[in-house]
Amino acid sequence: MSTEHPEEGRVVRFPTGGVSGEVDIGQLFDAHAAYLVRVCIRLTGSRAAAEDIVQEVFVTAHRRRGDLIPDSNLRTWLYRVAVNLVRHHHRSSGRFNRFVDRYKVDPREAPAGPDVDVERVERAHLVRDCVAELSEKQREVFVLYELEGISGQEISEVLGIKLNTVWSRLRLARKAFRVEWQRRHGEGDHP
Amino acid sequence: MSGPRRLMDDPDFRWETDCDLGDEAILHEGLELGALKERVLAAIEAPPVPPEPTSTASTLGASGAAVKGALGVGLAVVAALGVGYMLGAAQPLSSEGVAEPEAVIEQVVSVPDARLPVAAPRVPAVSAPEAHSTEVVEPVASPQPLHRAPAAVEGGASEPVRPAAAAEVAAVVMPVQSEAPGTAEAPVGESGTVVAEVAAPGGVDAVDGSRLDVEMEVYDTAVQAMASGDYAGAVPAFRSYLRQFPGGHLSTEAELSLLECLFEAGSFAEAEAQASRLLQAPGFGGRERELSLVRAESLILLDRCSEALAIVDALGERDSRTAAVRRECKRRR
Repeated sequence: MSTEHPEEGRVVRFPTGGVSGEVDIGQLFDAHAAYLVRVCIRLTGSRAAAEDIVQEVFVTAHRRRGDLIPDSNLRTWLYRVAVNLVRHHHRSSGRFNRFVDRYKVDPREAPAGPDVDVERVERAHLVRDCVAELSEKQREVFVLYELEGISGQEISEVLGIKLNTVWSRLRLARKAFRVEWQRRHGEGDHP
Repeated sequence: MSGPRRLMDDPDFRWETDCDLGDEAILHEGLELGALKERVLAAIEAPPVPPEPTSTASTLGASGAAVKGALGVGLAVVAALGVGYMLGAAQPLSSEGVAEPEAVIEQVVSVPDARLPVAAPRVPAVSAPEAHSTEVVEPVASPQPLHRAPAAVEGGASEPVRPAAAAEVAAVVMPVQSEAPGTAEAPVGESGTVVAEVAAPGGVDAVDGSRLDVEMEVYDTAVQAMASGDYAGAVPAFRSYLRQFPGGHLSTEAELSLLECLFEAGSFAEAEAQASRLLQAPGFGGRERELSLVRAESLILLDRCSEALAIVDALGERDSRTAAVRRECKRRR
């Protein structure tokens, strides 16, 4: 796919949908930003941090536009960059965020509107809270497999680990999630 | 292998737990990305930023060579392992240095494992009020093996380091305490732990190499307090080390660790002052960005957001960490 680009600085050359060509960075953003923001929110628990990270993903993609391998899986590449930036974010800002959190109450973002099912929103937050309790490695696999619906093979490529490691981490993550869910949700609230 | 059935599609899981993972998607409905798109486009169209001078590889190379020159190969390795976690982990991601995903992983993921070394030039002691005389000491082989302590505290504990075989260690200038010969100060941390109770260097035979052991003992005491999470106790211990061994083998690491402990202990004013001092001190070149960020973060926690913003503005390139500072300042207004 090739498009006209009045602003050369935005042009990124790598494949989309298996067809090599030049893609406007705006188009690239439209095609990939939503799931990247979503997965970064799920991994960081913060929309603001997720947006910062996604911005870095696209800036990185743009700067490395000449080095990207044609016909590579762009989605996997973007996921990999995003996940690694999330890891970096956790390390570099963890201490500062702990202190910031100490001094503020972070109100939960809740969808607004008359049709919003309050109970469902609460349960959604409960899921997110339980995911946040997983270890970083388990959380990555759990989010990518259970919430993003990515295949095990692609997860192994995104995380740079063996497929068997993906499954073992998923098994542990499920176990930990279930324990945390039971603890928070209450064992007597369901059959 | 397609993998196990997803929990979202597993009726048994839903029945057993009353948990529907699909509910989580409601939190992402109506995700508005217009503003973010504008930010991305603006960032891409901004003037190019020169490459970071301290990518992981280059930092290792430059600092490693400098440390080698001063202390020998062995200590360079040790220094690379022992730098304070915070500053190592805070190594900014250089977008210019990010190529393929493998490169991203190598640069971003490996940072905390390959602790960044510090520059070799020695930092003159600044906290010691006493006048020191100096004498040249030829270190002798240390009987202590090089080791790393197993303790590692989540979120930032450094690990104790020991010098390499002193046969590889160049001559160093060691101070002689003019006060209280034979006994060093034994500061007590807030937790009540006696953090140092060792012989001072002036009271040790300078030729038998035990001075190096004494120095390491003082340093290890501080690092162990830090590794155990006793940051308040580690602060006087690191200060004691720096006072006793200005220009010591691990004084740079001690300065950085002291900064980390001050921040962790909630002594933000002192952390800010320490970061400011290190920014002016020789031997911390290449760490301006990390030190500036720690200083900015300390200023925020001191409710001095305008100064924090000025610092991150001066840093130029935006990343998630500078953005966090800006965001927090905006929130506090």
